[in-house]
Amino acid sequence: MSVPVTIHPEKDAYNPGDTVSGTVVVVESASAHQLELTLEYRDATSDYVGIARTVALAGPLTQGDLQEHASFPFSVALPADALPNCKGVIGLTTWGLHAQVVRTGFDANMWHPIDVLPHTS
Amino acid sequence: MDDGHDRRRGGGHLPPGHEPGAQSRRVKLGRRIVGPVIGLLALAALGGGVALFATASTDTSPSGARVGGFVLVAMAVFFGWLTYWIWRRGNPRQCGYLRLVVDPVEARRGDTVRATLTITDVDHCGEQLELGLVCTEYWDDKVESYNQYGEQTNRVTKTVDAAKEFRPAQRVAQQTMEFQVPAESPFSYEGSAVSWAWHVSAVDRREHHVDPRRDVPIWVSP
Repeated sequence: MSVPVTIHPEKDAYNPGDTVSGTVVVVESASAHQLELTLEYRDATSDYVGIARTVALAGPLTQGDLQEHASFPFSVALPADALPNCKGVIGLTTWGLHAQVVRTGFDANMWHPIDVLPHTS
Repeated sequence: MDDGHDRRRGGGHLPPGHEPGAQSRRVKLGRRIVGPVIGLLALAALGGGVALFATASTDTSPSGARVGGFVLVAMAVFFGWLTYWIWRRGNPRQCGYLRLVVDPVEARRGDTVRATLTITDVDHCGEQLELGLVCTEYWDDKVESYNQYGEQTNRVTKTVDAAKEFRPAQRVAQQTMEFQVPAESPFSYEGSAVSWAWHVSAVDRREHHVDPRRDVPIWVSP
């Protein structure tokens, strides 16, 4: 199932407390109920993913069908106490942007990881 | 890779004030269910075996009853050992003659922690005593197995050492060592698919035996 949107943050690396801004671009027209975006902290192995923390926007980016080339700006604040990304031997934790096209049937999901650096104190 | 010990005995892999995450709770629940079920099987097999032995003389086939009793008792021994092994996996033996104090138990990556090891019975202690700082990574793997009903997929939590530094310790009453938490290592984390847990460990290495040990969990912040 193709995902009709791509996520374009302005930067790839952030510090806790920073604002993550960018746009979600529709690359293929699609019927949809709404387009949602959340900022998530996930831990993952090659087989499993867990969501440890979610920061939601105030509401959906748009509602109704998606038109090709349409773009939707977003801005969401990373928590000041956000844990940084971390890589272990096999598993990892990472922040990222999760776009979800809510539609009849299976939703389409797009994940774009971003780098969050440790606190500097 | 790792020493095969899962220190998550009811959250015991964490210092006070830190709660186990979803993965730790899941592993603990699985152990709570599987261990007692196999223990009950062991008791049932033992009871059946004893009953067969007790009634063998009046049975129409005494030798058959004794063989059946022997098989059931053997099964009881196996299930009993399995129950003990599952319990011991979650409750690694903590050595009585080693005492370990770690300061601080809350550190940041790059910090130094001081470990003071006290040996209350030096004669009891082996020749290969070590003191170390270890970060264990708990990670979920998809394991496929096959039985008469076909293929099954199980979620299994495995362990690997994400960071490890062991140094030889002396067989003296008390000694102190300092360890620096590597700045680039994982921090303590309790997740759903991945967790990282730090501990300072004193290990009395023994050939052909489970190494007696004393572990003190610490929390490492980013």
